[in-house]
Amino acid sequence: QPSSQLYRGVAPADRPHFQGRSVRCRDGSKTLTLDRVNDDFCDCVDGTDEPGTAACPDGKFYCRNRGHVPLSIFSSRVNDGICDCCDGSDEYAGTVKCANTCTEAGAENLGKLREQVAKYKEGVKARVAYEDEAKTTREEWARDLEQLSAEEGILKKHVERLAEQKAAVEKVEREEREWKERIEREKEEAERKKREEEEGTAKEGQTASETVSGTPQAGAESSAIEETEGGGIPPVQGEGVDHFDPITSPAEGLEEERREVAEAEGPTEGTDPAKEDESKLSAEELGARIRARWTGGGGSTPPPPSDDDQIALEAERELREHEHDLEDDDHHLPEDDYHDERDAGSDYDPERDADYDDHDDFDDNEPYKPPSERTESPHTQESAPPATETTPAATTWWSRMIGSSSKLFKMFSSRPPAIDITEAEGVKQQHKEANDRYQKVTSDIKKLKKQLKLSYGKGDVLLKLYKKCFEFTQKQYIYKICLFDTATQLEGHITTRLGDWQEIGSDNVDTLYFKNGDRCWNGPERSMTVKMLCGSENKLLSVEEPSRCEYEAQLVTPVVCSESEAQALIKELEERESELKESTSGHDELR
Amino acid sequence: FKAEEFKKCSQANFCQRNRDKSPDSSTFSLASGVVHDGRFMARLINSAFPEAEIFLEVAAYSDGIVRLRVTEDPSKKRFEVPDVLVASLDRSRSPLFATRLGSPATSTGLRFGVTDISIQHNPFSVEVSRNGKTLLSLNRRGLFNFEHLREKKEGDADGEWTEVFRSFTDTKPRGPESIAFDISFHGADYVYGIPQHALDFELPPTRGPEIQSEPYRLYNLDVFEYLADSPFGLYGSIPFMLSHSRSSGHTAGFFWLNSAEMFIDVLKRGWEGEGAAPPPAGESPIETHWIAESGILDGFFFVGPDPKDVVRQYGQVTGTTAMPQLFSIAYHQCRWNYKDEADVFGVDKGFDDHDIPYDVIWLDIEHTDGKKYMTWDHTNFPHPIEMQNRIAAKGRKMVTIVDPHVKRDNNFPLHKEATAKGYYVKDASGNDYDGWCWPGSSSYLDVTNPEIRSWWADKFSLANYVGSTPNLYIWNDMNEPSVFNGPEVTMPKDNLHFNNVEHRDVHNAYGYYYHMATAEGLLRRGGGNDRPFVLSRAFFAGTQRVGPIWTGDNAASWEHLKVSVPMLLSLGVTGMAFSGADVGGFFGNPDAELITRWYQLGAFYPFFRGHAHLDTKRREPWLFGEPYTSIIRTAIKTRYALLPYLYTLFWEAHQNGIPVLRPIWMEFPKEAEIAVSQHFMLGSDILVRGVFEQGATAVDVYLPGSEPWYEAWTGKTHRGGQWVNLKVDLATVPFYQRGGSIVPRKDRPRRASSLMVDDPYTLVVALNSSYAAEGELFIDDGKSYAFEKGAYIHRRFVFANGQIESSDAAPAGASGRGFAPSTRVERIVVLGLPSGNSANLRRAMVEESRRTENLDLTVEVGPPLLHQGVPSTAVVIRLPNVLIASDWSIKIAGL
Repeated sequence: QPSSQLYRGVAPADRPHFQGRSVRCRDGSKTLTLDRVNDDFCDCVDGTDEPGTAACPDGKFYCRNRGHVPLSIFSSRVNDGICDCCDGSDEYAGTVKCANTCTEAGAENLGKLREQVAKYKEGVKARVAYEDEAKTTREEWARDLEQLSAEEGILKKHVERLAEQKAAVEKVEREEREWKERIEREKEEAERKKREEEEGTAKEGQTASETVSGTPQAGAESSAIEETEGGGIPPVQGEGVDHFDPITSPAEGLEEERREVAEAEGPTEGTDPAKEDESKLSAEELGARIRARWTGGGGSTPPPPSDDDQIALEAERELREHEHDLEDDDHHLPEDDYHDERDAGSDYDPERDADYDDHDDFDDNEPYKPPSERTESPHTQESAPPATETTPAATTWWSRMIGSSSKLFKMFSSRPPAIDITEAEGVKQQHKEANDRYQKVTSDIKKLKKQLKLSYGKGDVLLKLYKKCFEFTQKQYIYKICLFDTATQLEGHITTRLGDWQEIGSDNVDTLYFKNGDRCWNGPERSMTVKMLCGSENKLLSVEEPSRCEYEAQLVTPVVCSESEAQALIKELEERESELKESTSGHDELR
Repeated sequence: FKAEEFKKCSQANFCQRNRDKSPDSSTFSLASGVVHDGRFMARLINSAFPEAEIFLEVAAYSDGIVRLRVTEDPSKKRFEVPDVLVASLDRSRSPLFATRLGSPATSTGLRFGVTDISIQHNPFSVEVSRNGKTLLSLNRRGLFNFEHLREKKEGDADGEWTEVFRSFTDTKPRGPESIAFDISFHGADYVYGIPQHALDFELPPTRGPEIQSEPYRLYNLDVFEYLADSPFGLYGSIPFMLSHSRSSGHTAGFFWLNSAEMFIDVLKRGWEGEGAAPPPAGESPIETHWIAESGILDGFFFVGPDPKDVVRQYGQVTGTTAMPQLFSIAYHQCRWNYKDEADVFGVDKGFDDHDIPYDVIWLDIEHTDGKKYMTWDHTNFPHPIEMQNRIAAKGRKMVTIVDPHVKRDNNFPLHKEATAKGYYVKDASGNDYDGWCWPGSSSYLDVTNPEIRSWWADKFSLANYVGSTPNLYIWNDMNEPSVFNGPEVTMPKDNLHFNNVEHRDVHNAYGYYYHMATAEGLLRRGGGNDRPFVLSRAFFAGTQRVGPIWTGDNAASWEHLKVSVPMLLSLGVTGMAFSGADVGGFFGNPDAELITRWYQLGAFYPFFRGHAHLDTKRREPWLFGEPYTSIIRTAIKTRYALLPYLYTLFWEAHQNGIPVLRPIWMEFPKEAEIAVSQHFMLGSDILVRGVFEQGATAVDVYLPGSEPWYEAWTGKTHRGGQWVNLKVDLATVPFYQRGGSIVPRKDRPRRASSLMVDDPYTLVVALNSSYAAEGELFIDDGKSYAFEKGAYIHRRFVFANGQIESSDAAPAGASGRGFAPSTRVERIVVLGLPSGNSANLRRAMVEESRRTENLDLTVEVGPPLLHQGVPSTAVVIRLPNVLIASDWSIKIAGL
C-alpha cells in the first residue's frame, strides 16, 4: 500500500502505530494486516484502521493544514461534499473541489494569536497586581476591624453613661415641670379661693373632686415615658416600633398590595379563572388571559399591552419602588424578624443582630470603607452608591463629646428648680450622637467581618472587584452586574433582579453565580451566570438569555489570566512563527 | 388542564339527548328500496316524524368496502365534507347485486364478492359480513337517530335552538340536526383508533357497569397541558375505528366521514342498565355508540379480513401517506424559540461539535415581526436568506411557523388584502370574525373555500414570502383553530364559512384545509417537483395525503413519554403514518434520564423532532453531559443508520396505507398477547419496547410469533412467543430484529441525511429457523416526484441456502428509469448462522450482472453494528461492493 494512502488522516504522532507489519485496534479487539488500513471498511469499531476514510463512525481524520493549524475532524466529515479542512484533504473523493485556503486562514489566525498573547501578557501583569492589592486591602480591613472593635467597647460604656445622664436630665425636667405645675396650681388655687371668697362658698365640694381626678392621670403618663425611654441604650427596635403601626405594619400592607398586583397580572396558581365571571371580561381580556398560559407575562416580544397590562405594569413598578424605599430605610426589619424582635424584649444584642446579616437591615449593600476612602468619588467603571454620610474625624468628635458631657454633669449636681433648656437638649443630642455612632461602628464591624469571611478566589484576586459594577446595553435593556452584590436588568424605569451574589464556581473557578432573582411568571427565579475570560481590563462582553430567565454573561477580566495559559499561548505562537519561517524558506519537515 | 373550560357530553345538548336514549328506542324503518346502477337506494321512515324525507344509499367498492349514506333531500343542504375522499374512489366502485329484495316488513340482502349486506327493514338495521361471517352491524341495539331539519316551534326543548356554555351563546339557527347510531364489532377483543386521545391504544370502555367516564370526544381543540389519560378530544380527529379478533386474526373497521363535533361511547356489557332492552341472544360483540352534532351519515365498513387489508381499504377511501422527502424523516431540532441568527448558528455548531446529526432547525412564532406570519423580526433575523443558505450549505433545511390567524393590523398587507377580498371566516352576523390569538386581535382565513386556498398557496412563492428560500419548509400550528377568547379556545360554532356553512359542520376539518392549502403553496413554489413538507397540529381524515402531524403540547413527564406510543399507534392504524410526539416533552424540564429515554424512543417515531416550551431550560442533546450526550448521540445516529429501512417503510405507507409504526397484532394477527402497547413494530422487521420506567434496571419484553428474534445491539437470539426479562442500563434500547428479515442500513451517519446519499449500504440478515430471510429497499432521489415516472429502485433481497440474492421488486420495467445510483453494498451482516459453522467460513463468491467472473470475498466474525463494546456475534461478509441497484447473488462457501 502506498504510504500516502496508509498515512491518510493519521496525525504525525500516530504514525508509528502504522509502521509495523500489522496494525492492532487500539481497543485491543483485533490485529489486522496493513492492507486493511484505509481500505474503506471498518474493522476496528474504535476507528483505528480507518483514519483516512468515513468507514468507522467513531473515527477521527487528521488534516495537516500547512500554513495554518492542524485539525482533527470526525470521520463523518470525510468525503461528505463539504470542505472542512483548509487544505481540502478531507475531500479527496472528487465529488467536490476544495481550494486550499490555509495560507490566508493561517495568516489571519496568526494575527489573532499575537493579539491573544499580548492580551494575556498584560492580563497576567494586571492579575498579579490585583493579588498584591488584595493582600494590602485585607490587612487594612483587619486593622480597621481591630480599631473599630476597640472603639466599640469604649463607646458602649460611654453611651450607657450618657443614657444615665439623659435619664437624670429628664428626671430634673420632669420634676421641674411638676414643680411648675404645682406652683401654677397653687397659684390658681389661691386665685380661685380668692374669687370664691368674693363670690361665696356654694360650689366648694365639686372643685375639690375635679382636682383629685386630674392628678393620677398625669402620673400615669410620666411613668409610661420612663418605661420606654429609660432602658439604658435606646434600642434600635424601639425606634422600629415608631415606624411600624402595630395594627397594620407596612410589611403586611405590602403583602396585601402584592396580592392585588398578582391578581391584576392575570391568573396564577390557586386563582381559578373559571370562578370569575368570564362575561365580565372583554374579548381582548379573555384572549390575553388564555394566551398568557403559554407565554407567561408575555413573550420576548410581547404585543402592545392592553390597558389591563398597563395597569399591571404600573402596579408592579410601584411595588418595586415601595420595596426599594423599605430597603433604603435603615430601621426596616424584614417582616418575620420584626415579630421576633418585639417578642425578644428590648435588650440590644449585637450578636443576635449579626444573625440578620443575610437580610437587609443596616444598609448592608453599602460595603465598609475605611475613612480614607469615604470621600473618594466612585470609579468610572463602577457605579456603587455613594457613602451616605461624611463623618467628621473621630478624634474631634470624641474630644467634643467627652468635654461637654462632664460639664453637664456638674450642672445637675445641685437641685435648682431652674434649668438651662439649651444644655438639657444638648445632653439628649449628645446621647443621640453617641448612640448613632455606636450603631454605625457595630454595623461597620459586621460588614468588615462579613467582607473578611467571603471567598475571593485563589490569591484573593476577586477582592479587587468587590462590589464593583459593570454594565452592558443590549436592545432596550441595560444589564448591570455588581460582583458580590446583585445582577439587575433595567428596561426604562423597570428594574428586574436577575440574581443575588452566590459564589464563585467550585469546579469552574472562572464562573460566578448570581441566584434567587425575581421570579419569572410561570417559571423559575431568575439567575445569572458570569463566565470570566482573560483580558487586560474589566469589561462585560455580552449578556444572553439562552433559556427563559437564565442569563449568561461574559466578563473580560485579568482575574482569570493564568500564567500557564499565557505560556502555552506564547509557546504556540513561537512554534507557529518558526514553522512559518521554515515553510517560507522552502524547508519541509514532513518525512 | 382546565376541565371546566371544555364541554362534557352533558353540556352538549345533542350528545346528552342521544346518550340518554334507551336501547331499542330507534323509530326508523325502511320503505322498499331498489338497486340502481349497482347501488341500493331506499327511503327511511321515522315513525315519530313521518313527514321527514330521509334517504338511504348503499354502495360498495372493490376489495371489501361498503358505504352507507343516510341524508335528507339535497334542498335541506346538510353539510357533506368535501375533499376528503380520494378522487379515484368512484372508479373502484363494485356493483351490488340483490340476493333478496323484501317487502317493507322484511329484509333486503345485497352482495359483492364475498361480502354480504343484510338490511333489516323494521326496525332499520344493517349487518355486514364476509364469507358468511358477520363482522359489523349498524343499529343492532336500536340507537339509530337522524334528526331532520325542522322549523322552530313552541314547546321545543331547551337547548335545541340556542345553547349557552359559560359566557358563550351558540345561536344554533338550524336547530337540532344530530345523527347517532350504534355500531357493533363482532368477534372483537378490542377496538382501536378514533384519534386523537391521550390514552391506551386498546380503547377502554366509557360506559357500562361501574364505569364513570365521558365518551371519547372528537372535537379539534387546543388543550393547554393535556392529561396523559383522558378520553378528551385533542388537536385532531379521525372518526375511524378498528377492531381486532385474536382468535380469527381478523380486523374490521368503520369510518364515518363527518367533520362536526362527535362523541363515541365504547360500551361495556351491561351498559343498558337493569330493565332496559337486553342484548340479542348469541355472541356479544363490542358495541359502540356514535353521536355527531350535524352533517350526514356517510359511513364506510371495511371487512379486511387481515389488519393490513383494513388499513389499505381505509387508504383506498381517504388516500395514503404522501411520500415524504428523505430529510423530513431524519432528526428535527426545534425550540420555542431560537432567538436570533446567532442562536441558530450556535445550535447548528453545537450539533457539529458533538458529532450529532440533524437535518432541520425550526423557528417558532418569535421569529416574526409582531406575529405577522411570513414576516421576519428585523432585529433578531435581519438576514433570513443568508441564514438559510448557510444552514443549507451543510445539507440542512429550515422550517418557519405559519399559523392560520392573521393579525388585524391595517399596515399588514396580507390582512388588508384578505379583508378587501372577503377571505375571512364570518361571525354569526356576517362580519369578519375577530378573535384573539398570538398577535392579539386576529381573523381567520376561510380555507374551506378552494379559491381562498389557491390564493393562500400563492403566498408561499419565493417572491411573495420575502426572506424565504427553496430550503425553507413550513409548520402550521394553532389550526384547530385555536382562538384564545372563543368557546373552548376555538371558534364559535355559528360562525360562517364558504357557502354559508356553519363552523359547527366543518370544525374538525378546518385544520386539514389549512394544511392542504399550505402544502399546495410549497408544491407550487417548487414547480410541482419538490415534495412539500408541512407539519400540522390539527388533522382530519385525509391529512395523511398532505403531511405529518405531531401530538401537540405534551409535557416532560414519564406518563407523557409512555402515552406517546399508544397515541402514535392509534394514528398509524387510522392512516396517519407520518406522526410523532415532541421529544423531551413540550412543557416542563425533563431530567437527563427522561430526555435520554425519550431520544431512544423518539428515534423510532415516524416523525422525530425535539421541541421545548419558551419557559424551559435549554435542552439541546449535548447539554446534559456524559454519559447522556453520548447515549443521545447513539440514539440519533441509530435513526440515521436506519433511514434506508425507514424510507422503504414510508414507500410502503405511500403505496398501501400500511403504517410505519404498527401494533404487534398487525404483524402477528393471531398473537395471543394482544394488549402490549408499550411495544410496537417499526415496519415488519423491528420490534421496539420503550423504557418508560424511571431508574429501570430490567424490563419485560414480549417477543411474538414462533420465529427467533435478535437483539439489535448484541445479536443475541431469543425464541419467539415468550416474555423476556431484559436487564437494562441507561444505554440499553430494547430493540429487536425479526428472524427471517433483511434490514438495509447505512452505518455511516453524517451531519445530515443529504450527505449520506452516496454512502454504501449494510444489509443485516436475521435468519429464521429455516436459515432464510428476506427484505426490501426503496431508493429514489429523496425529494422530487420523479419516482412517479419510474425514477426509483425497489430491490428485494432473499437469503436462502447460504446465498443472498438481490432482485428487482418493482413491476417489470417500472423502475430504474432515469435513476441509477452507483451506491454499493459495503457489508452484509448475517445473524443466526449455526455457531458450529461460522468458524469455518472464509469465503463468499459474488455473481453480479455487471461482472463476468466470480469474485472471492472475505467472511469473518464481526459485530452486528459498529459501536464500541458490541460483541462479535455475527457473520460478516466484507466489502462485497456490489451495486445496490443491480441484480446479484453472493454465496457463502461452506453453507
